Amino acid sequence: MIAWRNLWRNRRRTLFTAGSIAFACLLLMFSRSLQLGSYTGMIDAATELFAGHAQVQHRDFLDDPRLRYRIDNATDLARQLASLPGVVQVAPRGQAFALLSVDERSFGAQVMGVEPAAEQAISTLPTSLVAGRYLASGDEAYIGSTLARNLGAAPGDELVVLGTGPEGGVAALAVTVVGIFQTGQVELDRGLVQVPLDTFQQGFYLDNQVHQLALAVDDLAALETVRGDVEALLPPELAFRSWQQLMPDVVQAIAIDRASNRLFYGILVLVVLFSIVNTFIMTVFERTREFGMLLAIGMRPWRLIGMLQLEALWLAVLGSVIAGLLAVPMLAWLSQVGIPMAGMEDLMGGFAFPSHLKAEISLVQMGAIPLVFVIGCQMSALLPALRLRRLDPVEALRAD
Amino acid sequence: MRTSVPVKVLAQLSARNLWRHRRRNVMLLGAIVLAVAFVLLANSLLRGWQAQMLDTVVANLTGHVKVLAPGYRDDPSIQRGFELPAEYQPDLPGLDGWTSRVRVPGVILSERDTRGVQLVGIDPAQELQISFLADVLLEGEFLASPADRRVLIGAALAEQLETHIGRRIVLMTQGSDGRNREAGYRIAGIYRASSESLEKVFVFTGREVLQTLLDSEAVTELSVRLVDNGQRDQARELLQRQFAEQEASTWDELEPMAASMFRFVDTAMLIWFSIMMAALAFGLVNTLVTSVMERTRELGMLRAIGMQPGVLLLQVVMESLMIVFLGVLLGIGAGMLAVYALADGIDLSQWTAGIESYYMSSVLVPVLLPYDVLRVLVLSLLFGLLASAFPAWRAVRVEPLDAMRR
Repeated sequence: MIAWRNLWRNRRRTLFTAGSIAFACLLLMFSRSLQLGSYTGMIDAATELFAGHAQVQHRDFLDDPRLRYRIDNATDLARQLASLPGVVQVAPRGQAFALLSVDERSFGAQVMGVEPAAEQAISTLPTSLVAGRYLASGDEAYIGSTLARNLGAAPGDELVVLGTGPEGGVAALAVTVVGIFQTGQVELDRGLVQVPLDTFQQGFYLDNQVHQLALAVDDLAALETVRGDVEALLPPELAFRSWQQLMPDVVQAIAIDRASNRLFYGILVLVVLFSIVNTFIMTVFERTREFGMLLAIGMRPWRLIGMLQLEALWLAVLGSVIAGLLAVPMLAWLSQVGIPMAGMEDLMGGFAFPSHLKAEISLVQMGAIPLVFVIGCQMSALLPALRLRRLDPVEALRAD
Repeated sequence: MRTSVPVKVLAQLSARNLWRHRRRNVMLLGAIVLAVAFVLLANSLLRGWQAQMLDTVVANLTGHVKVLAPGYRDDPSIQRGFELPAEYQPDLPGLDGWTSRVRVPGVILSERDTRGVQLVGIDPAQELQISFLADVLLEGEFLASPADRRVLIGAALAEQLETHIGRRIVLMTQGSDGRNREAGYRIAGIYRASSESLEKVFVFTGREVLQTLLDSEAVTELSVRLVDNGQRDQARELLQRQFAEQEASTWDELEPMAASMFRFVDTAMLIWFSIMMAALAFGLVNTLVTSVMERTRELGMLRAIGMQPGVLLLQVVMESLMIVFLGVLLGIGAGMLAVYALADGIDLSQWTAGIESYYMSSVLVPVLLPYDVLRVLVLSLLFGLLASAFPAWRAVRVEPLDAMRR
């Protein structure tokens, strides 16, 4: 109580110091939340675009995607996987490299056999279309925009796909372009064609065989539990690949961002703590006389120190509460609405990025940030407070 | 008497005031030094990143300026090529190196596998002066001349194709008549570049060899490397004049993604600076106001004996500027030491896959520009000036009589 009142004896200074804590606190809360939100956004966009939350593949397919590293008996396995708890969607895909031709023009690209219904449920690729429509069934093709431009292909054009079958024979398909997609992801736009899975399997002499089973789960945080269940089902030559294994670039981009931000926040906190130490030096200096008096009437030095520590605690709490009161409603709003990222596509084009950046409030973060300042304040108050131990009451009383 | 402001006396007063409260002012100084040193270090790391971005983009066969035929970017084929006059030699200020290439999409086949790639016909001697090929780890031999009938492929591609040096591969692409052509070539060397995507994309052979395969005399691009990135617009205009029929573009036009990231870094520097300074401002204003309040009596006295409010204001401003200036100087010194300590670069190789998306390479070396140091100095002093506004105003408002009565 006395500590609280002491704070208000110098209202301006208390407000300034609390203000600096609140400022730093607010800034950290905001940037942490937006950061977490942007990571979630990045992960969601990247997994939903195409890869899925996880995939079942042949053990060697990830490092070396070849036609012969395939999954046999795909239909049964897909059905079993779909019935696992936590798995909401399974999309079987066949994949091969082939030469595509429209009239006289040819380009190399990945050809992917997909089940249109499953694909529409697991990936945003079917809705990224800029012309025509998505696949239905039969001899149809859905191709990337850069590839279409390079081939001079438009919906309705005939596309010839030439590849190598599993035994080394020629695999050929003649399909009609029905739609063109654009994702902003250079590799997909430039080098991917989707055709219905049946058509693909016939053309490449595959018999109920695929190369990946893309999985969507209901809770990304529980992905490792799903891994356990899935791996129990798989024969030894197949492997479960989480999105982290499928897209290490996204994981590392996040790691780099995290590391650089951590450094920045650390320095910011340090700068603020310096000015808090400053405040306490001023406080102790100004109140030398008062402290001398208290010592003279028999107060123990450690009680004085304790009082200062209590003042520091109140200060930190005050700053955090101000920050919290300002931050929480704004962040709650931002977590619902999000900041429109229009115009940022160029910058984020390397990754799939959502159209709105939403804040993500984590209770742990929201608690940890004020805690940092409470602890920091205690330490910065202790520094000048320890001088009180050596304070000589007589000298102190004489000070003006 | 009211004519001259006693600047020297005021400076002495300010210095003594600061010295009177050494302890708190040392803490304040510490905060300024820390903030400035960090801002400077962060600045030079970001500059280092920008330099890498530029390097990566320019070296990845883009160059600072490139001349392409209109329509080539939409339809990269030999039909969209242009003929270069024999003995052509660009005459540009600040020219570092140049080359012409034939670059078309194609397919590469080994006995084992097939991949889609970019076929690039180069003049090896010129290429080594300007592109990433100069920095690759090469196994085997480099191409000897534009007429060398062998190919260079990336290590990642060689692995996919399960092929080796000395083996034959087949290249397939579209000739100038629009028909598919193919021919077999022997692998001269396998290169390991900073990123796997480069290794998978580019297959090099002699320029004349590729022209023969395509049945054309044309090249598809002229790429120019400059000593100084700042000269690129000038170079583009000169090239545009020389090649009126073609399109000359700078790297930022060709790689808009890298360019916007490049510009974003500029903004990021200012944002970081402002945040640090805002955090500092609380401490600085707080200390200055305290210093003014403590001296209410003294200030009242000075006013009573006739000191002009303006002079009083000047004294507080001077006190603020003095500590900020000292802090900034020490901070710049500390920042420079930090940059010096990191001169060997920060090792980012644990994040190989991630750094590619940021156009980084595996070692980030800080780059300290005099311009940045100057900017930090000027902006910090400006900030010191701003921070002293409120305390100075408080000092001027002191009523002489009230103050002396305390």
